[in-house]
Amino acid sequence: MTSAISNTQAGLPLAARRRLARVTLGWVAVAAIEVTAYASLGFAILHGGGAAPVLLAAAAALAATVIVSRQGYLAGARLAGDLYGEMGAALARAKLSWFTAEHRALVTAAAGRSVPTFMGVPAHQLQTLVLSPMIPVGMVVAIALVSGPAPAGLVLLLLGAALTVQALAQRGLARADTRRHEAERRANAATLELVDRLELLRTAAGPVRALERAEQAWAAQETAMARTNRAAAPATLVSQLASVLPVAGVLIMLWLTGGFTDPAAALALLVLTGRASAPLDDLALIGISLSELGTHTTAFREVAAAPTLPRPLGGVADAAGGAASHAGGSIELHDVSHAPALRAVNARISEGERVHITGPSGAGKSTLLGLALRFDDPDHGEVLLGGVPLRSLAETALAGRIAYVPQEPVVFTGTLAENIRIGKPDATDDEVRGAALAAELGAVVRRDPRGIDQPVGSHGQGLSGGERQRVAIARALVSAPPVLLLDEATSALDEATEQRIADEIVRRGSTVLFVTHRRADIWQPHATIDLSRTDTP
Amino acid sequence: MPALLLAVLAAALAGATALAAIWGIVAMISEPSAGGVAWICAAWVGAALLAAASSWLAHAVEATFEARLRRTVAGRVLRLPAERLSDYPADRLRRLVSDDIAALHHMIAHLPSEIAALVVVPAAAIVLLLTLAGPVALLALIPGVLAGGVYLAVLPPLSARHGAERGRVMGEITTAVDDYARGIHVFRSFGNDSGALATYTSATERFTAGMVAWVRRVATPAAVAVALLQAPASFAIAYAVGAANDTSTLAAILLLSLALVTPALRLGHGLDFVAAGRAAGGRVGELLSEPALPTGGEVLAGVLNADTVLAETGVSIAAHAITVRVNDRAVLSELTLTAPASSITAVTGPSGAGKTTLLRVLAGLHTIDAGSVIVGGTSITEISEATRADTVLLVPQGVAVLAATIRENLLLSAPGASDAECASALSRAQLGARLDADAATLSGGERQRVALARAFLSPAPVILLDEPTSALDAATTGRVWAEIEKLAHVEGKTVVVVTHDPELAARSDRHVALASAQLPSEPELPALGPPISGSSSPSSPQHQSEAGTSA
Repeated sequence: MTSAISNTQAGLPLAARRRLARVTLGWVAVAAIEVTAYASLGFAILHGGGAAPVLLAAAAALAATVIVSRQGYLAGARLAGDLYGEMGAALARAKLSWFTAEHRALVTAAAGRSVPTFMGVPAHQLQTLVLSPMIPVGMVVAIALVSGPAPAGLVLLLLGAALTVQALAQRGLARADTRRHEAERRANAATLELVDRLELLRTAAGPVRALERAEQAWAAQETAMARTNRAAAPATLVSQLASVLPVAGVLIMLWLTGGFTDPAAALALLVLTGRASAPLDDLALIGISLSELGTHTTAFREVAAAPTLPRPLGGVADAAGGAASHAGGSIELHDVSHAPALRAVNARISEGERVHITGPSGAGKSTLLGLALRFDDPDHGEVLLGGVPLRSLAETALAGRIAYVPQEPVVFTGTLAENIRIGKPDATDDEVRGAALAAELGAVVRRDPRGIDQPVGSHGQGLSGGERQRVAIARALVSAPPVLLLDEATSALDEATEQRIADEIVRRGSTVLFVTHRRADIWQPHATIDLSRTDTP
Repeated sequence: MPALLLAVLAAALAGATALAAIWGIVAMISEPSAGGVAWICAAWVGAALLAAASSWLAHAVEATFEARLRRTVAGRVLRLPAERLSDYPADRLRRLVSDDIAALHHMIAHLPSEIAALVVVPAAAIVLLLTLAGPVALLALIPGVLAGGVYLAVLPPLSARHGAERGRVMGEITTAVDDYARGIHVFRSFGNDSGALATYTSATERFTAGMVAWVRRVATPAAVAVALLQAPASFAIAYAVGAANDTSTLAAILLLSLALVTPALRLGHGLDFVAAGRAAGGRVGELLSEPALPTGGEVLAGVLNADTVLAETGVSIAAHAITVRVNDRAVLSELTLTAPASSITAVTGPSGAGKTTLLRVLAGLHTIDAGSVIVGGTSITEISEATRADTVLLVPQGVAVLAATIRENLLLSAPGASDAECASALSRAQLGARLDADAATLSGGERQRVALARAFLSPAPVILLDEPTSALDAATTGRVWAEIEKLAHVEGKTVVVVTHDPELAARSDRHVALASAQLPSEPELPALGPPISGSSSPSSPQHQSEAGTSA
């Protein structure tokens, strides 16, 4: 169990671990005080004593619980802050090639689910985790003091038996449940597929057949669920019986030994045994709740451990930055290989040259552009910008020299100007307008009285696919970089618009690396890198 | 429903039987007997049996309910008209089909035991306590009443406002982190990811600060409630009240003093279930009240068995004076178009001219404000939804594939196709991949060809293609186009292609050019309309943790 707890804690920042430790200690103290209160109640019943000590002990238990609960709630809220901070730092460090669609979903899950789940640990779970094992043990000691060692021994045995039966019942249930978990996972995946591939399913299969796919997974899950439910009924029965076992055992023992001749002593023992066995249900479930916590928080731990690229030391970066400023716009590829597709690519692109990167699907065109942007370091070989290896360029120095227009334009909720200004945060309105016009967004700017300050809808939904591409191009143009990387940047534009944008970019004279499956000649390339040839030695 | 009532009854009886066992213990203290011990143990066994039966029944009922509900919801999502889908972004749909259905399911599953624990058992316990120990004994119930009061009256108003606020900030966090992860390549390549990170950081800081401020306010009452629910408080009062009485009365007061604590303990969670269930019910109701695509009833002759003589009969598709408005902006206006069988009709036009909308209209997936779409003499709305995709197949522009084998992806459009037929369709689409290859690992261009292969496999006489070659190189495009020509000219299919490639448009049999703005009457260009971001703000996250609201 301890290993399960420490496993859950792995990957947490130090401040968070300290908070958890403080709350844990608090609950240990509460357990001790609570047991003392029960013991004083037992003594009072036994000897017919006054109510004052009982009330006093109960008040102490009450106060301690209030203080620790409160501390637990606050610790939960602050823990969220620690974890969000840690996540932000991890995202800022992570290498760009890590941000795949899959990992993006992971990041959203970590922020939306894992962190809130962690928040409940000090607020709720720690109380159960600490009190449910400590109270029964403490109560056995209290019974030994109040009723004597023999009844204490019996209660200990009965508690052990009850716990074993409970644990066995839960294990049996869990076994019956394993197949349901798998079926449930499939059913959920089928449900999400229905939503995420809605257009595909509606068009390719129609509403009736589209449901058939999910139907299979759902039916399997419903069968598994029914099986679990059948197994759960006897498990509920057994666990209910186990929870009354200690009191029942003591009752029978009292009857057999004539213990009821001293009703006060009998009552004291029964009350204390009742409290000793109360946390057994929770105790039997601790393993399950810990493993659930583990699965809920995997997303966070995976994000916190996102891979990074080595960063240049400050001094090197400065020197390199200075060196690079001489020939900022040249790119060299030295024997660059990167899984899965790129093998031993060599190229030398001088400042102001335009180069067409070509090759069949999957030849690594986008990967090559990504390496020039240092989304990742190549498995083998080196990429040089302005004569300086990317590995020794500071991130800001790299960003200042290269602008990139991706295959899928990324547009954010906000205005046209806000979206374009990402390319150059301090750009004036005129610069932004100029870039918008250069990227053939004039018609869009004119159709709304708010001009460049018109909103683009949620994630740019107010714009068409081609308009979103032009926003991404305007963003690159406003930053006016020495090097421009275009990855199918104009695939959704009509030819005339594409031609005008190409003319504008040619006129600007920056170094351009571009991927297109359309007419390459409008970009007036100086050279072509054909990746299909690097495949065959 | 009767099964659910039976489950409530069993749960209530289980609680009452457990109380009877306590009564038996009290009796043992005053008059011990062997029969008493047997009676108590029998009551315990009975209570356990009843509880197990109740739980089994409740889960069986709830499983049936969930099964029906998710089919209804999914069916409705699949039948939403395309223009309504924009109000249902993926987040919202995901929440509807998974979290909301789960919330309703939990509400029903826990209802019987909640009713028993919150209503029946406490009432019976109070009656028993009054009978055995008299009205003074009720003082021992004070901690339970106080805790219940905190959960019922103090915390909800404090939490309601915060709950909404927390949901909003949580939504901001997930949006910020999603935006950050989505745009990180852009941000970092322009050297200003600090800005986007700042949005995330400020959202999380606001969340934490709001959380801490709220917890500060509710922590004390919530902690007091938690503390009151620990047995020492109830026991101490019970002892103070009962110490002067005989031992059996003291036993009754002590053992029944927790009667209200257990229900109060469940009050927090029980109310959460009900609140979550009601909110989910509202959202599901909203979806179910959306308009749905017509189900139709007609089956075009020869559509269901693809081997019939389609080539001879031919099925043309025609749009008559169709007008489509979205947010009061005319996307298509009085457009008339006829695409005859055995020919390729190309549709071109600048972006925003409504090309994609037109194809959706032709496929019967988009509501039209005026006009009609006629397929082989029958209105598209009258064609049975079960065969609509087998009559008019739309291959949309997106390159989405199912995360499954290529074969499974192809069988979507032709469930009965053999491996040989699938392989032939793939090769006609110029994709040399194995049928059992994982479609999710394919590149954009390869996925596009998987989608295209459906057009060669489907029995549908009318094929609508939206930018079918946008991700293909010139050589592949040429070969694919030759196959599309064969589809029309040799196999007699009606093919409508949206393309921005003028060469392909020129090679088509017919060419329809849509004007840039479909605005015949109004001279002034209307503004794009206010941004819909306000109404389609990201749905609040599903798992808002429950710090402080319950114990």
